[in-house]
Amino acid sequence: MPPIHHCHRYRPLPLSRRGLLQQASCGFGGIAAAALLHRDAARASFGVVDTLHHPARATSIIFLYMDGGVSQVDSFDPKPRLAQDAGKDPHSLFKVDATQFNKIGTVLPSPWAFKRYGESGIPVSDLFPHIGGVVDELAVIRSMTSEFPEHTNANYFLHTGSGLQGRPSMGAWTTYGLGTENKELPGYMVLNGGLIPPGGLDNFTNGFLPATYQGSVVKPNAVGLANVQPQEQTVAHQAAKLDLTRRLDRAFAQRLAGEGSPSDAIDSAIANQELAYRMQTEVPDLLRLADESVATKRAYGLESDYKPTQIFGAECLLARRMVERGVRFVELTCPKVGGDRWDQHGNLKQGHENNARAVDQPIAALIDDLRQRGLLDSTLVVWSGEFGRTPFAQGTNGRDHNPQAFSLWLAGGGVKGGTIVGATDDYGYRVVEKKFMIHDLHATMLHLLGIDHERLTYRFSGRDMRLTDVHGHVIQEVLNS
Amino acid sequence: MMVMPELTSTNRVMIIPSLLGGLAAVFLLPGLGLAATPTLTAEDAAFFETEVRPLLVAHCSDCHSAEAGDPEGGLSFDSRADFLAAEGVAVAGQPDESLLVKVVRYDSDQQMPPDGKLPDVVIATIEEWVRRGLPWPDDGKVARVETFDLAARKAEHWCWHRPERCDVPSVADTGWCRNDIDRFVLTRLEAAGLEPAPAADLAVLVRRASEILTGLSPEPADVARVLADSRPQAFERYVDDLLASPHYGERFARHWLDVARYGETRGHEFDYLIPNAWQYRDWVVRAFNADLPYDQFVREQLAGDLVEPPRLAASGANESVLGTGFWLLGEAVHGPVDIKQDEADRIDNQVDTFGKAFLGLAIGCARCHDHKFDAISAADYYAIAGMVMSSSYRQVPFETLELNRRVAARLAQADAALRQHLLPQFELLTGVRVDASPVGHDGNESSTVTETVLADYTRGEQATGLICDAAAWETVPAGQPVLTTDNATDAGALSVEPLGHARSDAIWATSRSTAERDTKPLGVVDRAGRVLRTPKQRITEGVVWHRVRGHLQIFTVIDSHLLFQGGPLHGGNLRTVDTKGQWQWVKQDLHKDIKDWATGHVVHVEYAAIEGEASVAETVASLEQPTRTDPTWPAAMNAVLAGGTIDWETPSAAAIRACISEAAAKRHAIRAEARLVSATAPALLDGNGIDQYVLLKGSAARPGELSPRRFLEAIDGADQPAWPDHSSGRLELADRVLDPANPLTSRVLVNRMWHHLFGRGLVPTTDNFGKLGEPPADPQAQALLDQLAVRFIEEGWSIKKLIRQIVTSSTWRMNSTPSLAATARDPLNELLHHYPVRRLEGEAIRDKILAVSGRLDRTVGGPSVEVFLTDFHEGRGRPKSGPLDGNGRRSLYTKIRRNFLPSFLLAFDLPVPFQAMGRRNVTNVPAQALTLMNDPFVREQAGVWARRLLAETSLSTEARIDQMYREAFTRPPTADEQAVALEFLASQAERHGADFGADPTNEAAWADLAHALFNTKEFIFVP
Repeated sequence: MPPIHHCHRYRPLPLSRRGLLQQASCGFGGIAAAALLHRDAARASFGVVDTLHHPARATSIIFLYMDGGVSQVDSFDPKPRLAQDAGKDPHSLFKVDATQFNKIGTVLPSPWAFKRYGESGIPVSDLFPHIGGVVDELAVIRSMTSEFPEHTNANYFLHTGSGLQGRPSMGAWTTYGLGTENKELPGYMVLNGGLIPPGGLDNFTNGFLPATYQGSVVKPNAVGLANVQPQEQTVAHQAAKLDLTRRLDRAFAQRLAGEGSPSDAIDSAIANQELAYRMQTEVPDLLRLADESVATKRAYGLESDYKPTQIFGAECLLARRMVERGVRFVELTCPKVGGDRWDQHGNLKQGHENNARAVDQPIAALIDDLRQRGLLDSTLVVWSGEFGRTPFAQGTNGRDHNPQAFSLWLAGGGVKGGTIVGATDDYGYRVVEKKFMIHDLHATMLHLLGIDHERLTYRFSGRDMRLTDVHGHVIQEVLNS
Repeated sequence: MMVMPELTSTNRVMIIPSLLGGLAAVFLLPGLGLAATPTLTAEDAAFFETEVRPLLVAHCSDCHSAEAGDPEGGLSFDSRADFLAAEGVAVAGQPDESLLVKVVRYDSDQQMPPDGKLPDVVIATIEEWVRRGLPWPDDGKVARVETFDLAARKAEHWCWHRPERCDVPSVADTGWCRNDIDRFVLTRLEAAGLEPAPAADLAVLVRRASEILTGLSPEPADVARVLADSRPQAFERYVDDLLASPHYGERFARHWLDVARYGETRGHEFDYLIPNAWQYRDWVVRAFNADLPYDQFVREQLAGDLVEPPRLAASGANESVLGTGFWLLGEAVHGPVDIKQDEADRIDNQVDTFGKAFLGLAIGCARCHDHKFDAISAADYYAIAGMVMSSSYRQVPFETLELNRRVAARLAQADAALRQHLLPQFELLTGVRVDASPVGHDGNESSTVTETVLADYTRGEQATGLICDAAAWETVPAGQPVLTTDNATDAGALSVEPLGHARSDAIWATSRSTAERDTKPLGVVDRAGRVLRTPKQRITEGVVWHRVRGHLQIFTVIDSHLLFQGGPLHGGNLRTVDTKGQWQWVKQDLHKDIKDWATGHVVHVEYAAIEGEASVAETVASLEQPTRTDPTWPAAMNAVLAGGTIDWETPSAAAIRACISEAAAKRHAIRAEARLVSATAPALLDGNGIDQYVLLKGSAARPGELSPRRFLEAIDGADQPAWPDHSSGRLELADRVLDPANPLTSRVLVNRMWHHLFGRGLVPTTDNFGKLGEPPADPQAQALLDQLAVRFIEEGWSIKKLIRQIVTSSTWRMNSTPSLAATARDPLNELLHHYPVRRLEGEAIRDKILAVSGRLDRTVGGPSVEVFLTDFHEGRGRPKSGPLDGNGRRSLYTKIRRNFLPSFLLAFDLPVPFQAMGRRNVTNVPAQALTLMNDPFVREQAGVWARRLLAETSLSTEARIDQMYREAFTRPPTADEQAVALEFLASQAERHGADFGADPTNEAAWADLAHALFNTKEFIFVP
């Protein structure tokens, strides 16, 4: 008998279909239940969650990662008080925490005006006029916090729920839980716009989860995925080689089995090679933007005269194509805009403007496009950096890191659009109402996918590990009842 | 503010005091009282039991429990009576008026619980409870506080009980059994009504043994030799050959590196180097190849810097010290804002890795609280953390360490002899009396400022002990005759040292390391071999004064943080000074770097000579410059010596001059024996012992009680003798880990080897023998494990003997075809009815490709080869790409950069090196097939293989195919496979536009055949 825990709390490794059947205590019922999670069970691969913990509101996630930390008081959390107290020493106004660079300047008002948009009237700064246009889809959380004021720890924290390196990313957890709806593509894909966040590729790692769940880093407008491009002169050259391999493999499997049982490991590896072969066409298909209309491309900013907008536009368009094809979790990283990522320790105005220009139009187009295609209801879009920025200057015209408060937003599947949740103090420095942690964001994301974050576990290192560790509460305020 | 519970040794209660001590006052305010005991309806009672009581236990009682110790703020939820005793907490029936509700809503100055707001549903329950009038049966306790009963946990879990040799079970089929292992295995199979699979063919066994023991396929010639060996024990002899091969050590070293979370960079934002980490890797390779007894292998990793005498290489290099690199292979950040928390996290990784690697215990789980399941307390965790905290990092010049220690000792002897000889004569000559009693100081007599003396080298015999990364420093008392230059004969220049101090001879400032240095700015100075380290102390002053002379680098290490590129610490803790030969107090104000000095930071200082002689007298933490009363007699003596009143032509004065000259010449001769150029390696440096606090919930901001350094209570008991103050205690730790009474160490190692040889350990969770690990499948499996563990120690902790015993068993020689009956009965092969077919690890696949192609460079050891970077390797700290084929070196030698891991290996489950990982994942993902199909390295090697075969012009096409099969699969092709290969070559050549009939050496076709073979399952699965 297989150990009982395989069916209850976790499965250590992805099982082959036969392996699944052999585990009699799951049996066919388990597979049937799992199949119900997927629109097209034949194309799907399964995750560990046999039956959703509650009805899902979304089936896929697009995570728009704003690398470096967008300033909350310059984006979604207007603070008129900053103008009143401009130039004052912040120490005279409130308690100031240690900052990374310790060059604490005076209170710095936002260089941008805020306008109210949509029926909800949510104020958005002039950095994001396009996003303003879709604001009624957004639930803006103004009371998010992080535990780390440094990029790397904060990035790991945002991505994995732990400030340390090497833990599984939220995309890995999601695909571990739910599998993917298209097994001919990786379930967790990262669109690399050019900036790999501090902390490197470990932000997208499977950590201690099996390698199946690691983020596949894809470049827009390039080969896409590592080793997905055949190196042979023609398809026939490669096909002939693989025919030979196939033939030898069959013989090997038979010889090994003899009169006894065939090896599951060998059979699975053979099947896997077939899948890899098909991916060679599936992935380029996915990346081919030629079949998109001119209007669509224009809407996403692919014709922008600003190169970073083109890049991020392509990422957003590809994200939609991935979601259409059943990819479970898509993360987008930012393009290079010449200066720094959203990390304006100096030159806030120029830096934030460039970064905003790159992402504003494509993001609005993505939300519009998803809505028009009926995909927004089943796609959760999350926009977030790793922390916020200080309301006082670093030096004279920058802002330092601020983990005490920042804004992010969610849109799409199961999200109550046109909502503002939480509040910060008069300066946007600290949360005063409805303080949330990254764990709460993760719990909410999993919740919308039909998963109870406390029940998605993997036994490792002597513990049943979770994305939310021992924390996390679903942020009820953003849920569309 | 901190309220500490009484901690008893075994029956401990988990309490987490809250930070918000201010709540006490609020809750104790008289006024709004609790209503009289409400009448309790059955419905209310049920509501309390099912809804309220669990939430009070879950969210409140950790801190608010009288039973568990002092309840925070005087409020206890232990019982209704306790709750009522604290007035003003709630107004029955009026949630909005109740402080309890306000604080959980976070609508008050106090917010509870302090570490995060409760979910709204929980808050609603509390509101409802107040609304209903606080129904609570008056029946005693609510806070069924979780108790931690170490003795009970120890008693009930198998791993804490010593392994015993037990009777070897009897079996029916005794003929099958070659050794005891087989009897244990067979008795299980017979009980299950199963038969072991038949023995594998010898050729298969040869391949299996070679690939499992060395990670490389056997050479066809070796296969032929073994198959042709008709004497008995041909296979056994082959196993001996394999264990004697240097490639065995490479293979098993990689297994150990998984456990040691081996990496060569520190990860995080810029992925800084851990300089020379590969020296540790090579140390592991040498240890396995030399069959270093496992107890010594463990001892040197835990305390190789402290073992006496150290194990020396033939070159005289210190081998033992290299083992301590084990502790230093983790990740680290360059700019922590909360430096104490950062240290706690770093030490956590070290404690956790230690526990898993050597003991198979998740000690790390006891960081935030006593272990939830195992007999490991938080005090246990912090007792070990203290040992780590007491040690520090260095780059050790291990090649010259021992030689230079002897040189330095002789220099010190020569100096002492000169002093003993000359000082009495100086007394006579000058008429100044030597006052040998040390001139101490009692702090700043003239000031009210308190100071903390980190080191005082002025006090002769009582001076602070020297802690050096090598041997450069010597204690010199006041009155030491000065040799101004080696050839000083100018009597007028004679003088004595005015002040006792620690001194580094000028020669050591010319030492050079041949290897990677620490990151700048620290590594601007070639520090290795020049460092003097003060003891560590907790200080609160934030200003450190150094009384020094010479040109030196002063590095004040705060909370053991290593400086990479300046921050967070804004560089104030690193200074370079040149006092131009004069004694000087150098001030180092660290307030710019750290704000919260009042909370205390553990600090030590490292001094390294930059040029010439360097001296350190005192290191003092103080807000004001220390004032000192120096001894007066040396100055008086120097005044007379320099005063021109002495007639240097008298015989006695001339004798002194001759003596000085002779001493200088002797010193010169001794110095010439020093070796000043050495490779270096990361290693620990031991100093004084300091204890760590139990950090509540693992937070550095919440220190509880000190936890004295000691070993696990579950193994060594509660009453352990106090551990030494003069050292970290790691040597004692090694003794405890290796004590025969320790039930874990030998079992864990034996199980690791079983895991490597069978693909699954007798305890499948190789790094966790605790409650949450998977225990041995049945009593016989545990008996087998124990038998092997006992025998392992009896046979001198020899890993090679252990492996030989396992590999030569009938069990290991079974073929890999399970019978249908066995599959039905035991699909996971837990009873071992056949040898499990296994996919090779990424390293072995890549190495095999190189070996088969002929590109493999079999050099053992050496610096790592940079990883080949693809377009997909991006991020800060991106290095220059290495060569596509890694210079043909085995995968073991590819540089492990945490942020740029080799993609080939990663696809095949190379573990991300963040903690001990004795059992790798074995996955089956498309990236693996895509790698073998399209990775340029694989394609390139297929070409290399083809060209090598074609270069042997005497071979026929058939012979080439035959050779390829033998090289790839350790067997000749079948007739059918020959035919298929021929057919493929012909058709593929045609696709390449060639006529194979006319030219059977078409390289493209042969390369394609090679590539196809690389892609077969038989290539990467060991049968």
